[in-house]
Amino acid sequence: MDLTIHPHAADDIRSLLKQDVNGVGKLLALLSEIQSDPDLIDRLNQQGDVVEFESGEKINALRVQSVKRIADIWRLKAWESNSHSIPYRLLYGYFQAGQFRKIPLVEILAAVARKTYNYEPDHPITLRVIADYNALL
Amino acid sequence: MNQITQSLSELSLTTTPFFNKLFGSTAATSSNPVKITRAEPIKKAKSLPLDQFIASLCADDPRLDAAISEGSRWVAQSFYAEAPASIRKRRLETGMTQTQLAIAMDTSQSYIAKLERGEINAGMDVIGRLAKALSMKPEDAFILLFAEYEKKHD
Repeated sequence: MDLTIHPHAADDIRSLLKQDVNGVGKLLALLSEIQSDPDLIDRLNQQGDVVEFESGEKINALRVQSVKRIADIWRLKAWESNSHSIPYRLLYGYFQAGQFRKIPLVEILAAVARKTYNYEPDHPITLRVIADYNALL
Repeated sequence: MNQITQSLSELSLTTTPFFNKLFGSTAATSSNPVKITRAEPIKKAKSLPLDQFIASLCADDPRLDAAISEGSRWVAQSFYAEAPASIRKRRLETGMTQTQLAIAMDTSQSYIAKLERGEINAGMDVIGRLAKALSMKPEDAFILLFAEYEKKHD
């Protein structure tokens, strides 16, 4: 499995590094292990959910379409239930192997401090992640 | 005016209105045609492979290498505590990513990945270097390597 960092996520991580070198160290160690052990991401995903950006009362065609198209954007929920977890939310796109991709790809799209982002539909991070994901399709 | 110069002059007369319209210029005339300069393409930042990204961050912040080592120990405790003994588990407990172990053994990350998956029939030299890097006895390193190799080839 390939694991790549989107330029916007790279900026996120650089920004986090200025404030919390140990937290970023954990994050990068986990990403390294996910890359070398695809079973690990499967185990983490069993505890996670597909992100749903719908707000419910404000559904419009564009949003429904967006939600459908971001079905492969995932978050690592395991980090939120563990007291020793990393205080970041991580969003990534998963792209399966196919005609033009020999092996699956995980592209990290965002890494954000938990206290500043909770998957709000209109949050700039949400909008950015959706746009970046769509650009990768 | 020779034939070629005349043709160019006629061409300029016919193309100038087009360029004026295209670029909205009122200054261009047949004697002062529009100059087109080649625009540089906009360079779009590319996604980076994880290892390359980590290397660039570590170059910028010398504290990060030690933080990643500590992070690897955290990964071992959080996600591999109940896993059976293996080279991977030992590496994480020692505080190393595959890339860090590769550097310690003077080899490549992909070689370490194959070693951990039991895809390498390791010789004495590799066993010795692995044992030294993971601070373990060579016979213990051999047992772990052989277990992976047997699992892969069963």
